[in-house]
Amino acid sequence: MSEYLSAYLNVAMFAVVAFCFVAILLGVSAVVRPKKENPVKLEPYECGMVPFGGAWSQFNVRFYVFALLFLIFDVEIAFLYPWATVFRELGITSLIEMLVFIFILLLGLVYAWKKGVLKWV
Amino acid sequence: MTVNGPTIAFLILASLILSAAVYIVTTRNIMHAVFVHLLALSSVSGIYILLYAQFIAAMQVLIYAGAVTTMVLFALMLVKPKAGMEIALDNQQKGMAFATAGVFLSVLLVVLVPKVWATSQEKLTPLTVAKFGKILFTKYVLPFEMISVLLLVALIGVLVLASKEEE
Amino acid sequence: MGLLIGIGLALLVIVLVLTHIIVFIWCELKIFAHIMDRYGPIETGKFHGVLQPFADVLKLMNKEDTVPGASDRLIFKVAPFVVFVPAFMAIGAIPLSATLVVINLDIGAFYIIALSAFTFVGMIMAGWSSFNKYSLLGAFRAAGQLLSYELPFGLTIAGVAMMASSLNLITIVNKQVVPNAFIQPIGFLVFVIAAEAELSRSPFDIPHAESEIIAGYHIEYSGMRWALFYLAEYVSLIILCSMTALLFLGGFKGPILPPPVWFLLKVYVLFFILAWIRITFPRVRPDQLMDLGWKVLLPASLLNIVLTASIIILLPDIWPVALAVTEFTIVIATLIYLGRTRR
Repeated sequence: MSEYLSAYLNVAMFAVVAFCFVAILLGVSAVVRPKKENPVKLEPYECGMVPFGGAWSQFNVRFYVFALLFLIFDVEIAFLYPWATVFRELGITSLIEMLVFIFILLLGLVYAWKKGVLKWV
Repeated sequence: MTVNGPTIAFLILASLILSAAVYIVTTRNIMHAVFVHLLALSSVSGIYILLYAQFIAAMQVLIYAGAVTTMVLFALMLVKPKAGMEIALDNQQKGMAFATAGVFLSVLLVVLVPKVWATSQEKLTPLTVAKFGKILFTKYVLPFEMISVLLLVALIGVLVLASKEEE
Repeated sequence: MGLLIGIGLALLVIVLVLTHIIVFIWCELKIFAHIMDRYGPIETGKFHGVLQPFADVLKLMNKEDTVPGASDRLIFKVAPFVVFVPAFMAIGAIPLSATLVVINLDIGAFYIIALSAFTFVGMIMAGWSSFNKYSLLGAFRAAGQLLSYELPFGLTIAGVAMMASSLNLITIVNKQVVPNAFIQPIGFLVFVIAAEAELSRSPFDIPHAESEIIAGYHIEYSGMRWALFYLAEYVSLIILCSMTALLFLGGFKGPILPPPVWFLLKVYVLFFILAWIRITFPRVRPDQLMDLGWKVLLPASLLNIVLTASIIILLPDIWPVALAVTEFTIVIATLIYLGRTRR
């Protein structure tokens, strides 16, 4: 088997072994631990007080904006990696290309900054 | 089709993806659907690895399983969630939907099943990052720059919508 | 046949990693204690509490498993897997020397970054399925923190990949004549800070700030399930110390001793420094945290990339020296500026 496939087979085996390890740990614990059921134990924990309010509250749209900003820059990073490995051979044209790319996305970051979206409450 | 390691891996991954897809479409629980979607995305990444496109596999995990899934989860949380996140799967147009899907399926079967697909004679070699980078930045530079513009547009769109939401 | 070798190697790695984790847990307790002028564990085991981590693990196994009543039981049980398995998969790619590596990938560094993306979803799964509004809030804040610091983390690694023209970890180490920390000090500093925040360690430990939102996204987890989150954090710690050593400190290179020894030495020193930082600094506020991530580290790492690229292209012969000089000047100038304005 080629080196490539054997490397990824090892990756898959690591995943399998890790999964089994976690399962074994949880299994051993399931055998060893006590099981004293009590309805109070099922209630959500709020520093020992009686819990009040439902489990859902209205979430700020800020979380979503951060997730989206992350997605956009994540895509940028994903494209930055192949460029980082070959830009030396491709010379100054690829440098300009990537600078344009980074600049356009930087415009987005500056816009978000100016709009005050990067404030975390 | 010779039965060897990659074939078995492909069968496992393909069955994971298909069962995940069926579950996502038929389940009533949105959150379960999102987490099974995560499984489907990781399996697609596995298929990319089998196609010798290792960088794209890692990109798939990073962007889809990471960023997109997180974004979907955050977006779901914004819609004031009911406990259990149950959604109704029934509607009035079941018969019509069934008929349309049936027509589509039969068209696909009639066209695709008898076709003899031409197989490439090239031997697959692992797509190294260097090779990928060279092709991306010489032949496909313009789509690459368009991606940045597209991302900028998406960003501005979301910021505008988000600020409207806060008013 | 390849399957058996793969499983054998994975088992070997898991044993090595677990041994390291046990020792690290004990070391950390001792380091915290002595820096705080107290003793730490003394009783368990004959010598200075060496059996303390074992005692902790046994205790955790014995705890009752309370799954909250209204939670989503399946997702509650799956969350520890989603957090632990990718962390362990990443350990396999860490090379101990130029030939000692289990998984030698062409995309080495990127593989590790991609796997850390699963932690976000794992945390949200844990927080959501606990049906506890503090847990959910904690999960979202933790995810927000990790997202914000994943970006400078990825960008600084890209900066290192630029210098070595490869993502393969062994190639990156072999191409370092001088440790990269001296050539890209901005990259090094940004990387260490971002790595600390990725691990949710002090001063960025809001995700499990005990005095604020109790334990964040793992409030409702007890016993072994919680222990798995804890273990996953230590595995990530090992990965990040190893990445810092490989990418910025010359990895397994060093004069007289064999390469694996140098590598482990560097990892241990970094672990000590990180534990020291953890016990010394107070917690950062959430808004300060986000500001630091988006307004300081992200532009700094982008600047790092632009500088590295420009200098490598424009001055191809003397670029290490030129880059080092430029970045050190910027760092020193920033420090002087901060020193003057923050009186």
